[in-house]
Amino acid sequence: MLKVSSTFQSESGRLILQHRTALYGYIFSCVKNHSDAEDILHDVCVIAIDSFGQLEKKGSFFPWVREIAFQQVVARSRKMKRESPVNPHVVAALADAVGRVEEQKPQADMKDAMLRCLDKLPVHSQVLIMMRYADTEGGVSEIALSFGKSMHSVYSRLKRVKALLRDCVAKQLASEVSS
Amino acid sequence: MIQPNDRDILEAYLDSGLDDEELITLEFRICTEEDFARHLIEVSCEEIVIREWAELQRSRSWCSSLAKWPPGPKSRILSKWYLFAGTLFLAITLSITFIMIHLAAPPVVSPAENVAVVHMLSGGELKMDGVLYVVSDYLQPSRQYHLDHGVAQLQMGSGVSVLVSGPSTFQLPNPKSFNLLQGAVVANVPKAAIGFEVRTPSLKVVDLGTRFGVHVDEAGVTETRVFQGSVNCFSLKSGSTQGSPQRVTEGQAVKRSANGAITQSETESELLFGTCLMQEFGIRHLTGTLKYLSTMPSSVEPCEFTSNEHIYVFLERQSFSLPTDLNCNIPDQNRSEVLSESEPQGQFEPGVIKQGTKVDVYYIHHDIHCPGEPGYSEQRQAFFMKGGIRFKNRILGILPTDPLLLQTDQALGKPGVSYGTLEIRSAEDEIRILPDNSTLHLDWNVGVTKLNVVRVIVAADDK
Repeated sequence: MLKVSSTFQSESGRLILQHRTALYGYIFSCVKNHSDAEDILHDVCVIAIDSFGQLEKKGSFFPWVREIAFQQVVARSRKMKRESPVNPHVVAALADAVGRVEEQKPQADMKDAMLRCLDKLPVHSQVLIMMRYADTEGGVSEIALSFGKSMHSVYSRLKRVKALLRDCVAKQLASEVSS
Repeated sequence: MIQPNDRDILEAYLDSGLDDEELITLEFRICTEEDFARHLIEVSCEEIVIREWAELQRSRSWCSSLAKWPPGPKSRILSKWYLFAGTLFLAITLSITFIMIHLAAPPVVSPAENVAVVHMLSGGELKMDGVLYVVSDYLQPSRQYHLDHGVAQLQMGSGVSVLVSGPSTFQLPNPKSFNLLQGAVVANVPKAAIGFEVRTPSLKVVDLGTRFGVHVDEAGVTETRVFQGSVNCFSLKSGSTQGSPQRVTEGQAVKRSANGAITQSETESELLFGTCLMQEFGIRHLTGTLKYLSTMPSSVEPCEFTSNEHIYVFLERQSFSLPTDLNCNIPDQNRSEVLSESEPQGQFEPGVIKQGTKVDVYYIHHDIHCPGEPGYSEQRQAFFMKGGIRFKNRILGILPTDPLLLQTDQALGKPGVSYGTLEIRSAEDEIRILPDNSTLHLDWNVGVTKLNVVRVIVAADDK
């Protein structure tokens, strides 16, 4: 059995963490299910660390690991035989797209900025976000029911909160560039 | 080119909320418009970050603060929670980084892997694709499991405890969700796991802080009963929720067939969830004419709760700390293991259970139909009823005589239940304890002039 050196593990682990958001974002865009996406991401990480020694140019880590993710998504979709199978053309198009996004706007930076912005939200907006995202499906109707508001009202409010978040993230990233 | 409402469409796409026609249009755009595909990736990444942040907040029992929403002056307390949660998040991130860098084990542990662990298994086999699962085994998401008989207790990663009674077939999509294809479960949901859901082919039951049971029969009819708290029930069609949820509160039960409406259910809890409920309340097994009822009647006085078919077992107290020393009959440690027909009571001797001992208290009751009741028969004024009860834990003592019962009705009895003051209760004819110290065997000569009753004191779980 191939013994993976600790140097490779250290480097590959660091790189995976650096690109985790983009990888997860890509996989989730393809499978649209968090449980499946987490499983695939796990498999991708294991494969990437086990075979990191085969990567010749460490600078091209993301295209390499994205290719592993592409293959894993396609392989998984073949196995699962769900009602709505994953479209391989979409998987390929999104693989190209995530490469360009990660190159131009590293999603790790977006994540850091987004977390800072989420912490800055007013408490009632934070609670709304928590209810929407931490809940299972059917969440909006349950939120509306719980607080005696219409679903339209809840959706509108969520939309406003997200717009605020995007503005905040854009400002955070811009200030980082200027500084 | 990106349109103003593209973000909404992409969010709906990620939420699997598009119809077939919209899906085809959108996928065509993903394949042909580079900026649109990039936009989807960006939206997806944002959604993931927000979701992970929300999950983290939720994991710190934020639910308790929701009751105060919109926030009042105590919002500062909530802020402290966030600070704590943020610190925890940082700690987890650093730990994961450390593990990935320094350990040879698989560097990324998917949370989905630890969806549930088998906490207890009794009287049956739990299998997935022919593979046998035993206590302490972890169950995998998106696999189908089958319990043939008995009962299994699963400890979900979310903190929810689920009792499954066989035969049952189920899947575990994630630690907060349970798909019951057939069989019966009782879920005990702590506050931190509010939102836990049980899905069946026709119904989705979402917990709102509660203990509830869900049963699916062979025809796909789902029944759910709330034992404590409340749940929201959603009709399901092809896996999607339909219409408004129906709130079901404590003591209520509803049912739904594949394409029907949600209606009130009159089915007795014990018929659907008897095995789970017994397990939950410390009873491993019942035989003969003994029957466990989860709800104790308001009165067990003579002629108030009668039956010619069953000896009833009720739980009066659970994990109860004895306020004083308790005089009772305790198992004789030197008793003969060979049962003597002539001296069944010789298995017990007067003794004391010490103050502060944690116990579960059970009331075993039989009262024959009285004159005037529909089941009363002058021809059957006396007959024998037999049965056995095996408790989960050790029997510490019994209270089989009227004086002992009367002395303890108030302290050990179920609050709100009327036991009466007449001295006509006893169970002196036959009670035997088996060598395992957890099983009682009853062989009662039931008559019309007195009630057969015994109060049983069992060691409680260490919690």
